[in-house]
Order: sequence, then C-alpha cells, then structure tokens
Amino acid sequence: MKEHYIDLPLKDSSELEQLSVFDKVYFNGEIYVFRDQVHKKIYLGETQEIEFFNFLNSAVYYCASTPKKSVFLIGSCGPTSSYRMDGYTEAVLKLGFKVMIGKGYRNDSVISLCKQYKAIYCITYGGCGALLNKNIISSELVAYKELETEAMYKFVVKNFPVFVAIDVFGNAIWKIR
Amino acid sequence: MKIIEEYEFVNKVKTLLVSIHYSLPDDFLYAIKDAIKIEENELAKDVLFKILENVNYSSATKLPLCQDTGFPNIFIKIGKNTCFNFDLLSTINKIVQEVYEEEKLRKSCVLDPLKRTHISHCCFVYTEHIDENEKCIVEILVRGGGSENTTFSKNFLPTTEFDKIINYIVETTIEILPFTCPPIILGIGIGGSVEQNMLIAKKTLFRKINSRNKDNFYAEVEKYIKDKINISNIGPLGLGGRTSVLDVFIETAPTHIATLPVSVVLQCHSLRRGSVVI
Repeated sequence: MKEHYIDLPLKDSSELEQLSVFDKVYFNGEIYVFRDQVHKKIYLGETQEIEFFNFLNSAVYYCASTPKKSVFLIGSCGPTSSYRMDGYTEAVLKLGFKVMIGKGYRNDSVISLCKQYKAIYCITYGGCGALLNKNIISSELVAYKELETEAMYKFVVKNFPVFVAIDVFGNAIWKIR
Repeated sequence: MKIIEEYEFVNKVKTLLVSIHYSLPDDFLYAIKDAIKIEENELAKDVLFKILENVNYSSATKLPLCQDTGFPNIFIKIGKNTCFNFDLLSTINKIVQEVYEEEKLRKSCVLDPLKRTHISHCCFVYTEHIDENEKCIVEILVRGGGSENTTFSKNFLPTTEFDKIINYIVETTIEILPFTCPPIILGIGIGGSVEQNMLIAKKTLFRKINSRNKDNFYAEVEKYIKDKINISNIGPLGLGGRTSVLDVFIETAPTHIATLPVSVVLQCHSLRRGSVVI
C-alpha cells in the first residue's frame, strides 16, 4: 500500500495529482467539519456567516462528533455516510474545497466533479470514532452554532488516516474492481 | 408474583446501556478475529484490525465506539406473574436521557422529522409477554442512522419463486452495502404483518454469530446468502476483500394467503447490543 503525508490546507492543489485510488494518506493541519444541514445551507446560498472564510485548497470532513468528554478535547469523531452530500457537493467545491473525507461510495456526478474541480474523495475508518479521536489536536466551533450537533467546526489533525476513494483523474475504487 | 422494583430496574438497564457504547459482544469480536485469519486483502485486514483497536480504545477511554450514538431500540420481555411498581415507559425514557447526558453521547435525533427541530435523544420501546415465570428480560440494540438508512423491504406476490426473493435480497444488499460500514450482519424477516415483518428482521440481530435458524431449510439459505454477498469483493468499508457480511439471520412468521412481506436490516460493524435479566 502506497503511503503519503499531506499538509492541509494544500499549498498547491497539484499535490493531489500524485494520489491514486487505494493509496493511504495521512493528513496534517486544518480540516473543516460539517455534514448534511450545512451542505444544504451552502447549496441554498445561506452563507453570510461564512462569507469571509477562505476555503481555498481546504478539506471537508463529514462528521458530527460526540461532545467533549473527561480529559479529551472532543468525543468520538468518525465519518458519516457521504452519499447524502452528493447533491450538494458542487456547491461546496465551488467554495474552493479540494478534499472530501467521509465513508462509503458516491454517485457518478461526484466522480465527474472530482475530475472537473481536480478534487479528491477519501474514506476513513467508519465506525472507529473513538480511535480517530487520537488524531485530533484541536476543535473549534466556527459557524452555524444553532445546528448544534451539525454545526461547522474546524479541527486541527495529526496524521489523520484516509484511503483515496476517488482521485483527481476520476478513478473510483468501486469502478476499478 | 414478582414485583420489579424501580431501583433494581434502573440500575441494571443503565449499566447495560452504558456498557453497550464501549464494548462489542464477544461472539462478534471472535467473528472479526476469524475474518482476519482468512482475509487476504491487505486493506481489508488493516480495517479489521482497526475495528478491534477501536473497541479496545473505547473500553479504555470511555469514548463511544461510534460518534453516531443513534437511538436505542429497547425490547422488554415480561414473564408471567411479573409486574412493575413504577411507570415503565417514563422510567425507560428517563434512563435513556440520563445515560446519554452523563456519558456525553451525541444528540442524534430530532423531535420533528420534517422541520428537523429540537435536537435531542430518543428511544423506541417494545414490550412483549413471554411464557416464563417471574422474570423480565431487557434487550437493547443501539442503531445509527447509516444502518437505519440502508434498511429495505418489499411486498412480494405470494406465488413468487423463492430463488427470486433470495436474488432480490442478495443484489439489493450488495448495492446498498457500501453506504453503511461493512462488515455487516444481515437480518431478514419473512412473513408476518407489515410492521411485524420489519420488527422480526431487526430482532434477528440479537442472535449470536454462527447460530443457525432451527429450520434446516432456512439455515441453508442463511449460509447461501452469506457466501453470495462475500464474493462481491466489497469488503470492509468498501475497500475490497471477502469480509463483507459476518453472518445472515432469517426469521419467519405466519402471513396472509395474499401477502409475502420481506424486510432486510443491515447492521454495521458497530454492533451495540446486549441484554439483562431482571
């Protein structure tokens, strides 16, 4: 298995061109964390709150963690099923995001969008939310506070493990096998 | 006559509901270890090891196994000559609220399904009477949204050939499997009234891995479906490999001469189930 270490946000989006499906990538740096309801807001243009955020070359992680517990900064923080974001994905990519992290397969439109926007989709360890807590250095609520569980957060991650599931060339793990 | 006291009920059910979020059943862990032995796909093995590592870390830290702490399905089996000296439903609701708050489990429910308002905790309770004296059994299955969303069912014509039904189950499961967290357990309910049909499919998930249906015919079908799905090469998290489904459980119920309902419930590898006798 080929392994890579990549810093986020990307310095240059061309860094993604070296990645192929099934490669393992360890991400370091900042990732934005949001899911269904924020996607819908972005799609509907309800974005005043995030107007001045710079999402260029950033990553989005589809996750809603459990609350902070005992000595830990946050709780359990595994990925949610990504297919529910499929219809809203272009709106998010238009903001400058280049990396999507979640679990499960996506539809064909997401594959085309990855090619068009030179973006990738990655799968991380679904159902392993306790373990992924080890890779989170900090967590900060940044927008849409009223969504509570589903609000937008920013994590700083260390060696956050993922597998590339769609690459910038439009290859997808479920099309290759 | 056995009178179940509230303090005893609360203590035992609370302990069970807490422990469910930080440990997986032994039979399930053995199944994962067995799968590692025969799995040849490197990525699949990596994921299976991570599942075991996650359980160990969750037990040690009391961080929930999965961030989707979902909702508990609570099945209460009440024996003959057994009664409660408290209001069962309000006590259960109180237990769920307390455990989810105290253990910092995620609010994963909305009270209004369309307006998506009032994010909170919730649970679903089912009671049934059993033919045993002076006892009460509480079974809990915590389900996440990913697993709930992949559930499917269909009303077949009563004259449908059995092969067609099996193919429907296999093909639909293979199609939908990558949207939850494989390796999964598959629960199949055949027959019954429509609401009972879904419920028996869900309740099969309490069966131990490698336990077979008492009827040989269904026992063989269980094995057949498992093998068919595992050659699909979807594997853990959809990354490939032969470990897509760890077991398949079928249960049946009498049905109307005009009906043949079939429900299929996919259970992700975060199998949060357990039971306690009171």
